[in-house]
Amino acid sequence: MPTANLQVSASAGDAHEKADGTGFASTFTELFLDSNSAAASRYNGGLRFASVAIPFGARIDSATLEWYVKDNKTDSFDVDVYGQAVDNASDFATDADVTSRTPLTTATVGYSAVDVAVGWATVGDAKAIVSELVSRAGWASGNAIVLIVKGRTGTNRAGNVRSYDYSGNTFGPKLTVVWTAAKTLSGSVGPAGAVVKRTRRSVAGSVGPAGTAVRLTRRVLTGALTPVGAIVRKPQRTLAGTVTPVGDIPPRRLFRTLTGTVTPAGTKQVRLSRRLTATLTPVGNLVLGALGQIFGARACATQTVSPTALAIQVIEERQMATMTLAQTGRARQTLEACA
Amino acid sequence: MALTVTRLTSPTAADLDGLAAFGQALAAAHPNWSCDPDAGVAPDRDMLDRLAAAMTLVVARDGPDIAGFAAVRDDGTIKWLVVDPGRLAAALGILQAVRTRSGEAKGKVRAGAVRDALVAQGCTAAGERLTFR
Repeated sequence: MPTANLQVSASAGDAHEKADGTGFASTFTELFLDSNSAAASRYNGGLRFASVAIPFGARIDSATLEWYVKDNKTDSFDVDVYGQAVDNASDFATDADVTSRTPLTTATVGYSAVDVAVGWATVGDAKAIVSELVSRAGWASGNAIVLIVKGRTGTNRAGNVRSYDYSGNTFGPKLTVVWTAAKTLSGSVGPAGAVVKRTRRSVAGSVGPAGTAVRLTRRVLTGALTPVGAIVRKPQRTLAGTVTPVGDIPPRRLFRTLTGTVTPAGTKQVRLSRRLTATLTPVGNLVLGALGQIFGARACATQTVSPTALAIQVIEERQMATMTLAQTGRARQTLEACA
Repeated sequence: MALTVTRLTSPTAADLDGLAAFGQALAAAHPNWSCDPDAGVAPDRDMLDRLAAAMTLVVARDGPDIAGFAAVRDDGTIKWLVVDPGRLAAALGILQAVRTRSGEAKGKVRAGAVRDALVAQGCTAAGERLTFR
């Protein structure tokens, strides 16, 4: 499995600051990570890992955080580690702040230990934190991660770890991430702004512009996923036939049952009986009374409604059919076209 | 001069400055001293400030001069004992104070306890004879 061996790589890549917002320092040779009930005696630390070559949506198998305990006097810790929940965290020169950096990840790792031996100490597995960060819609491989180490309030402990400034990459905090790439999507989903959720496997269909987020693909989607702003969730079945996002289905094409989702908001779902064809049109209309219209027709029956209303063209058996799929609105159709 | 041992429950800046100066002087005067301040780690002001926040500082003075000090955990055990090697009796005084607080009868601390404490810190070798004055 791919492994990203990350380490604080610049003087401005780590810092500490008291919980009351004073005492910021990013050029010390050590980081103070103290727990204390008093904010003025409690220290928080920040660790920045740059150029994190992990792709969006990767599964994080482990993320081991380690730091080098500096001495055997200030070698006790009681802290919680968070991630800064941003897409690309800035360093501590650009943003000279540790305590107030927000938002923080929901995921956290606790570390409580006393009299830790001088040397490398394993803080814990931060995979939940890293996973949360690389799953952000704006995450891109090569971005930077900042971990915030916050001293707890229930104990009084002093902990020192080596910073980058002590000896560069020799003793700077390390984060080793083992990850697995997300499964390939056979296409992306939908136009800008559209979000498709809970899809775990391949998505077959057209793929929209930048800004689209695809998460947790669970099922095969066949057919086009479309209109702008639409959210397509859990398509259950294969769409047989041609389902275009916008536009028409040519005549003589609908010889089979067409089942599937065709569109957006505002349109009522209607099931038409067999041997019927219909034209569904513009926005926001309801399909009403179609069957009654048909039963009363001997030959070709046509019902036309104004552009702002629904137009249903009903054609009796053995007649040619034309079907237009709505540009917006949603309709689920069972259709059988005429030969 | 009489040895006095004081627990600094709320150390002042002057207290911490004094201890830092003492620690730095020790480190300078005894560069090869294996005892604390340990290799390259002198009790500087930042460290003392943080230790004072995390533990209790106990200071031994020989007259007005600081002869040693200790950082004592909440459970009464000593985290860090820093004494002038020329005034090891200060260590004894500190240990007496600490042990008394933790419930042991006063006067039960002997030179052996001091030696054990110092050996534990790498200050001196086991079996080495210590001289108190």
